[in-house]
This record gives sequence, structure tokens and C-alpha cells, in this order.
Amino acid sequence: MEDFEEWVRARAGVMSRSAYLLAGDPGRAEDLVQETLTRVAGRWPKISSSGTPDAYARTVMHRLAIDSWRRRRVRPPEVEGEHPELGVSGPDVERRLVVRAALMRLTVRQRAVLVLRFFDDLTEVQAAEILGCSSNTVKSQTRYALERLRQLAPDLLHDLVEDGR
Amino acid sequence: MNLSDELRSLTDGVPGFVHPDAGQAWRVAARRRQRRRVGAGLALVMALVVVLAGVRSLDREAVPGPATGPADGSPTQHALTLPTRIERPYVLHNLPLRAGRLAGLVWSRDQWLAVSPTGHLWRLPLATRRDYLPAISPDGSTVAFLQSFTPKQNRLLVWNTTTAILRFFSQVGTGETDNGKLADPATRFWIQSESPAYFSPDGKHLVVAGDSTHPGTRDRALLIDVSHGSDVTVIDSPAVTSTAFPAGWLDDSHLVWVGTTAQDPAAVVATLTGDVVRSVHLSMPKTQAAQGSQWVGPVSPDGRQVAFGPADGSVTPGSILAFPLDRDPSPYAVARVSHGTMGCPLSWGTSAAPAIPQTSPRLLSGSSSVVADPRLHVDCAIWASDALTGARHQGLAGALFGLNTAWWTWWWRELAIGLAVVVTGGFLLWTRRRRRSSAT
Repeated sequence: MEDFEEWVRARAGVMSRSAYLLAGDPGRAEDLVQETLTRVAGRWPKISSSGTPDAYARTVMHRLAIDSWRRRRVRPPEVEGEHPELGVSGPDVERRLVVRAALMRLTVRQRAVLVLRFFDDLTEVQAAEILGCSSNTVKSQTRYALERLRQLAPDLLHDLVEDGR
Repeated sequence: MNLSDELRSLTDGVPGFVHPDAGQAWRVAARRRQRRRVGAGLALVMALVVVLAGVRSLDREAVPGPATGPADGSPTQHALTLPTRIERPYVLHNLPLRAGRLAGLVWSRDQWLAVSPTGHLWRLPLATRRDYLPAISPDGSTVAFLQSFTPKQNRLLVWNTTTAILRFFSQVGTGETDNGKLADPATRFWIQSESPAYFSPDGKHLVVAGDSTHPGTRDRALLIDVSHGSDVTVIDSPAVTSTAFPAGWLDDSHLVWVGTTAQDPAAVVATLTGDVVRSVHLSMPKTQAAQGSQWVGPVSPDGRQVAFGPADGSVTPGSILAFPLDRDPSPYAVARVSHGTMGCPLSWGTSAAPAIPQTSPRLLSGSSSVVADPRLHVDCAIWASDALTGARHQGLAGALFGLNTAWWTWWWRELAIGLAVVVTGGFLLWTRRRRRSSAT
């Protein structure tokens, strides 16, 4: 168990950020991370010996996020109001709120593709393997997501191109 | 800023608001693993139980339902076999309406049970006491027994288990009195206790020692037409005998009575109206003080012999006699027995020798051996002739253990389930220890 805890301490920050981008809310992000860690712990002896706990955790988290979104009969309303995780005040806070709001208007699968490609810096093939789809699907989802972001936040994200740069 | 920078900027402060708990994750994972293992173990045990129950049900004779019976309503016939082993059922059900032909009837733990050709047991519903014996037709298709609704109310039920036709004879009971009056006012005819009843070879008539509520001066018997209607006739024993009891059927229209004449015991063949056809004096051995009793009989299937037991119905070594009915005086043949049972009639399979009832585990000896679980405490077994002459049914237990009566041959199902539980538990423990050692 000690090596598991050590791994969690090392990866908690990155996992929290990815989870937040997928879930859009610190509470749901924490739930997502916790469930991911539980599933990783269930198979820890095997995956730690194979040397791929990061990849396994990433796969589990993204698939959990997509599955839980599908299972919801009623989409929860967007939490309006304060987002202390984005900062207290200043122009950066405003910018983050706009970007967050635009991200939350995407489907969870589109968000997952963007997180894997532009936050985790994975290739299309690696992202496809994690999401369990083809790389062409990843490519098309990326295109749709970026187009949508340009529409939702034209002032900030108008110059996004296919590679997100 | 590009999208990568935007996303990183967006999540800068998030780690301060999301606090995963590694220890909690580990504990929850361990609980889930335990639940999965327990579930897998239970599923394995359940699968074993289902397999064993399925094997057991395959062991039973198929019960023909209405849809599978002949269109003209004639009885559904299956080959009648004699079971090799009779196992104790976990749950005892009442005899189904259409159970098919039966191999026999046994008295087990204070109740009368029907035995299927594969050794399955059913309860004869509301069957009365041990001293009122049921009867089974030679082909195993019909059973007759007294039912008790209350300690005082009885009726005779004749049940064809192939056609599911039941005939109730409410006017036939035990004839018991209460303060000088009949305990059951519906009774007009009574059956003598501790008296075997005998079906005619064609199964259409039943004869049993008894009388009406207006008794005659001679020993009498009830002749019951079980094929249709509810005819009950009282017939007198032949006049040539001073005391006599019905011992069975020579054929479908002639009865054999065994009783005492002026000199010796005799077997008398008479028509159903009481006309004597012939009388055969029975040469009793000097060592046998036999006066004849209700335990005489039955007549062999070919009508050529009558079996003769001791007066008190007990079966002691060397005491079963068989007399040919076509010779006068009739010499006896002795059937050697090692032990037997009280108050239980003999059965005939072939006409070579009667089948002598014994107590469990061995209900029959010789080539027609049948063994029963000692926990059933069977102390009387009455067999259909066709079953005694039919093929042997082994089933799974019979194939595994044959006629072995060792204790573990009766506990094999429980031992198998216990072994499965131990193996499953051991496997789960071993995998758990293996994972622990690899984790450390």
C-alpha cells in the first residue's frame, strides 16, 4: 500500500486538474479522482508491476467521466455563481470563467479529447487508445470541439486552429 | 495564449480544492475485491447445487402432463422399473395427480409414501395409520388407501396415477366407534385393520377383509369396483371354512380364501358371488402352528401358489411358506429368510418366490434388491408385481454405489457440496495470500 500512496501523492495534482476539466466542478472532480484511485488500487499489484499506472489511471478516469455523463437521466444544471478554484479577482479570473463556461458547453467526449490532446499532450493515436475509439474519431471530435469553442468564446478562442495552437 | 496554456491556467488553483484520499481508495478497493470473491464463491456453490438438483431431477421418472398423454385419454404408459436405491429427499411433496406408474409403497417415519420407478418418494396425502395398509395394482397404475380428515373421519381413495382419475368411497372407513356409535356417520362399510388389500390382476377390483355396519355371521370381505362407479359389495367367506381371510386373486373373476376347515387349513377358490370352485388342503409343517390369519397371501401372479405367513404377521427365519393351488393336499415350499418386518404383506414379482419385506436399508434381498437410506426408517414395503419383474433403475447414485449401504453412500450429496465449499474457500484464501505477498 505504501507504494500506492506514494504514487497518489506524486500524481494527485495532475489527476485533479484533468478531472476538473472533465467534470467542471471541484466536488465532481474529487469524486471522479477518488473513484479512479479506487479502481487503480483494486488492480494495483498487476498494473504497478507492469509499469503503467499512469496510463491505466488516465484511461479509467476518462471512461468513468464519459460513462457517468451517459448514465445521467437529467443533466445537472450548471453551477452558477462563484468558482473559487478559478481565483478571487482580476482579469485572469474573468478569462478563466469564460474558458470554463465554453468548455462546459461541449459534450464530455469532446472535452475528454481536448484534455488528452492539449492538456496531457497525447497524440491522436494515444488518445484514441484511451477513449476506446479510432484515431479518426479523435481527429473529428477535436475539430468539432475547437469549432464549438470558437463559436462559444470568439473573443478569446477565435484564433484556435486544428492543433489548438 | 493557446489552448494548452488556457487549460493550464484554468486549472492552476484546482489542486487546492480537490483532495483525493489514497487510504480510503485502498480500503474501498479491498472491500470490493472481497465482495467479488464471496460472490464468486457463492455463485460456484449455487451452480453446484443447481447441477446436483438437475442431476437428481433427471434421475426421476418424467411426470406425463395432460399435453403429453394420449388423445383418447387412455393411461400414459412408461416402462415400470424397480429402483436400486431410494434416497432421502430434502423436501417431501404430496403425490402429484398424475405421477405415472409407481413401483411401490413404503411406510417411512410415520407416513405412507409412494415410490416412483426411479426411487423418488412422494407422500400419500392424508393417508391414515400404519395398521391400515395401502394397496397397489400389479401394473403400478393405481393405489388405494384410507384417508383420514380428522382422527375419526375416513374415506377410501382409489387413485389412478396415470389417468389422474380419483374415486372416493366415503362410505368405506375404519368403522371405529365412539361411545357405542360410529365415529364417522358416513361409514357404511369398514376395513379390518392390519389386513392387506389386493387388486385383481386387471386392476378393476379391490378386495380386503372387512364388513358392513350390519355385520354378517361369517368372515367377510369388501369387494370394491374401482373401475367405475362407487360399488362396494360385501361377500361372505366360503361356507367350507370356519374362519377365512381373502388371500388374493386366482384371476380376474375368482378369489382365493385361506381359512380353517374342520381338519386343516385350506385354500378355497371361489367366484365373486361366493360359489366354491375347489378347495385345497394345506399340509402345514408340524412346527408351524398356523391357523390362518389376515396375513395369508397374496396369490402369485400366475394364480398357482399362495404365500402363507405366520399368524401374527411377523417374519421370522424360515417361516414363509408357499403352497401350490393345483394340488390337494398341497405341499409347502419354504422361503428362507434371515430377517423381516412385522405387519407387512408379501409381494410377488415372478411366481418363483414371494418378495419378503424387510426394514431399511435393505428393503428386498436377492436378485431384486432395493436399498433405502437408513434415515428413512422404512419398515414396510409393498411392491407392484410389474416393478419386481421389470428392469432395474440405477440412476446416478445406483451407478456410483450400487447396493452399498455404507453411511457415506447416503451422504454423498452433502459431502460433495461440503467439498465444493472447502475447495472454493481454500482457493480464495490462497489467492488472497498470494496477492498480499506480491503487494509487499
